[in-house]
Amino acid sequence: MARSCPRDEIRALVEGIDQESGDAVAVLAHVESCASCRKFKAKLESREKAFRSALAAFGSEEASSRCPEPAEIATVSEKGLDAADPGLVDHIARCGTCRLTLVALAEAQPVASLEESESASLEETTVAAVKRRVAVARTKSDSEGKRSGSSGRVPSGRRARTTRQVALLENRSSRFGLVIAAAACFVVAFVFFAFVHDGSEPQQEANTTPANPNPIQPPRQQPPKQQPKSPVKPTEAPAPKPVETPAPAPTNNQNNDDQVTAMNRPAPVEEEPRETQPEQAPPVQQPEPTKPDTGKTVDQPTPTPAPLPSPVTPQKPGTPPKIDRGELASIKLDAVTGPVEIRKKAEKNWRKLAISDLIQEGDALRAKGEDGSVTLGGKARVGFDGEAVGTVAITSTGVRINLESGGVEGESLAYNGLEIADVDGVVTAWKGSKLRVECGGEKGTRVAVERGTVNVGNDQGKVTVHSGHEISVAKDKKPLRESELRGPYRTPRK
Amino acid sequence: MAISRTREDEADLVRRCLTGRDDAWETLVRDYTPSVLAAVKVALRQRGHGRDPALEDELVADAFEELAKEDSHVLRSFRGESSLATFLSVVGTRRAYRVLRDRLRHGKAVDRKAEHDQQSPRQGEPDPAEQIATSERASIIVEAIAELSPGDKLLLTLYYLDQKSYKEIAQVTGLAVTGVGTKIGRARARLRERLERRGVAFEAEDEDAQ
Repeated sequence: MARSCPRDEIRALVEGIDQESGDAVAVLAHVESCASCRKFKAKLESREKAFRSALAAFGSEEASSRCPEPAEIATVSEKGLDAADPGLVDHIARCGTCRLTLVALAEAQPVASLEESESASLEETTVAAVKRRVAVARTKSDSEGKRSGSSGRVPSGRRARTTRQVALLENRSSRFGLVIAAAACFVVAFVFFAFVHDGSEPQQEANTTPANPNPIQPPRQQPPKQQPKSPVKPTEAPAPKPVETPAPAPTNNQNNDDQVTAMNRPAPVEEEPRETQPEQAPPVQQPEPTKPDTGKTVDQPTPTPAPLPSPVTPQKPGTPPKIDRGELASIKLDAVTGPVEIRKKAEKNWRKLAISDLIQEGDALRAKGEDGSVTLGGKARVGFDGEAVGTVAITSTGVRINLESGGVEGESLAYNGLEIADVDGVVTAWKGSKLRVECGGEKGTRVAVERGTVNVGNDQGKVTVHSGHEISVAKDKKPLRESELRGPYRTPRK
Repeated sequence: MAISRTREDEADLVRRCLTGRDDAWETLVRDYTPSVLAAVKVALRQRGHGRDPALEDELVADAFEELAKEDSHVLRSFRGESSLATFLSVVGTRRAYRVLRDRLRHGKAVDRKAEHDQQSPRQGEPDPAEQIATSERASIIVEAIAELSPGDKLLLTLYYLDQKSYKEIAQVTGLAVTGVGTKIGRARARLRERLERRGVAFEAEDEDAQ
C-alpha cells in the first residue's frame, strides 16, 4: 500500500458517511488502480455487511406491548429526543415501528398543512366514514359495559345505544326523524296522561315504567327502583321517584322510546355536572330508602346492605339529595408530565395518572422513579421529585398537597392557589410564586422561594418568605426568620 | 384544516369525549381527521404503497375506532404533553403499520408455502462451522451496538437500517442537519472501539500496510 492511499476516505465511502460525490469518484478511481486498496475495500465491505445485518437484528423489533403509549411518542415527536427518557430513546432505536412512526410524524406535519387545499368532498367522505365507525365502536363499548370505575370516567348512567339510536344520531338533522320523534313523544305523553287521569294505579304505573333518568337531573341522584320480581330490567334505567323528581310526565316517559331518547340526549346542560361527580356508585347500588315489599315508610331508612366507597351520603328519604362535599371536591388536570401516578382514595394500588383523571379530595399522587408534574385546574402546578408522595386536598381557592415524603416544587397560578402542608407546618403560596418544599424528617421542612412570596406557618407562628430566601420549619417550634438562599435551590439527593 | 386549540382546550375536549359527549366526539372527528389522514398517507407511502383513498379512509376510521372502543382506553392515555393532533397521528400511523404488517405476513405465508411446495434439495449451503462463526460474530456486534448510548443507537438504526437521509434524521431527532453525519461517524467510531475491545476487528486489518 502506498502511504498516500486514502484509507479513511475509503472507509467513509463504504460506511456511507459524509461522501462528497467528487471525492468519492477520486477515491474509487484510486481503489481501481491500487490492489491493496481493493483488498482493503473488499474486507471493509464484508465487515460492513456483517454490521448491517447485526444492526438489522438489533433494530428491527416490531411493535409490541413494550412499545410506549402513543402519547409518549407524540411528545418525543414534538419536543425532540432531548426531552425524552433514555429508556424511551433506547426502545425507539430498537423498534422499527416506533422509529418509522416518528419519521412519518415529522413528514406528515408539512403534509397536514397541504391537506387544507385538498377537496373538501374527500374530507367529508372520510369524516362521514369515521363518524359511522366511531358511533358503532362507542355503542359496542357502552353495551359491553366496560366502563372503568377507576380512571375518572364518570358512569353516565346512560343506556347503551341501540343500532337504531346510532342511526338516529347520524341523521340527527333529518327533519323526518324529528317529526317521528315528536309524534312518538306526543303519543307517549298522551298514554301517560290517560293512565294518570284514569286513577287506576297511577303511582305504580309510574314506578314500573322503565323510564330513563330525567335529562335535567344527573341519573345518579335518582334512587333506583328495585323490583326483582318485575319483568322490567332493573339495571336498564332507574325509575325516578315522584317525590324527588317532580318533572313533568312527558319528560319522564319520553325515555320509553329510543327515538325520543336519542333526539333528546345531547343536552350539554345535563351532562356537565356529572364531570364533577366521578367515581360514583351506579344508581342501582344506591341506598334504598324504602322497601315497597316490606311496607316500610319513607321515614324508616333501611341500612345499606353493602357500604360502597361512594362519597355520596345516604339521603334522608323524601328530601332532595344533598350533594356531598366530596362530590364537588374534585379538580381537573390541565397537564401531566413525567411518570406521575395516582392512588385513588378508596384504592390501594397506584396507577399511571391520565389527563382525563379527576383529582378528588384524598387522592394521593407521586412521581415514580423520576420527577413528574401536574397542573391542577388552573390553580397550581406541582412538580413531584422522584418518589415524592403527597395527598391532595381541595381548598376553597385551590389545592393543598399534604406532603408525606420527598420534595415538591410548586407554582401558584391563582390567588392562594397552592398550599403545601406536612407535619411541620403549612406553606401558602401567593399567586405567581414559585417555591420548593422538602420534607426533611427530624430536621424539619425546608421551604425555598424562587419567585414571589409565600407564608409559612404552624401552630407556633407564621412568617413570610420572599423570593430568593429559604426557611426551615419544624414541628412544635416557632418558624425562624427567613434567610437568604445560598445553597442549591434543590437539595441534592444522597 | 388548521386546528388552533390551546392545550387546555384539547384536554377539555378529550375530557368531554371521555364522559361520552356526542358533540365532543363529533368535534374530535371533524377537526382531527385531516391530521390523521395526513399521517396515514405518509405511513402508506413509507411502506411503498401508492395512493389508495379507500384504504386511507379505512385506516383513519380504524384509528378513531381504536380511540372509541374498549371504554376509550387509548384516548385515556392522552396526557396533554403533546398536541392532540400529533397524538392522534401516532394512533393512525400505528394502525396503518399494523394493517400493512398483517397483510405482509399473510402474503409471506402464502409465498413460503408456495416455496416449500416447490423446494428442491438443499444445494450450495455454507459450511456449518462458518455459519456458527458468522452467528457468533453477529451476536458480538449486536451486543456492542446495545452498549452504545441510546442516541448513537438511534442514529445508526435510522441511517443504516431505515436508510433515512440526514434531513429526515434531523427532523426526527431535533439535531442540526449539518451535525448528523458527524454524529453518525462518531457513533461508528465508538462502536469500532467496543468491538476491538471484544477482540473483533471491525475494520479490515492493514496487514499489508506500512
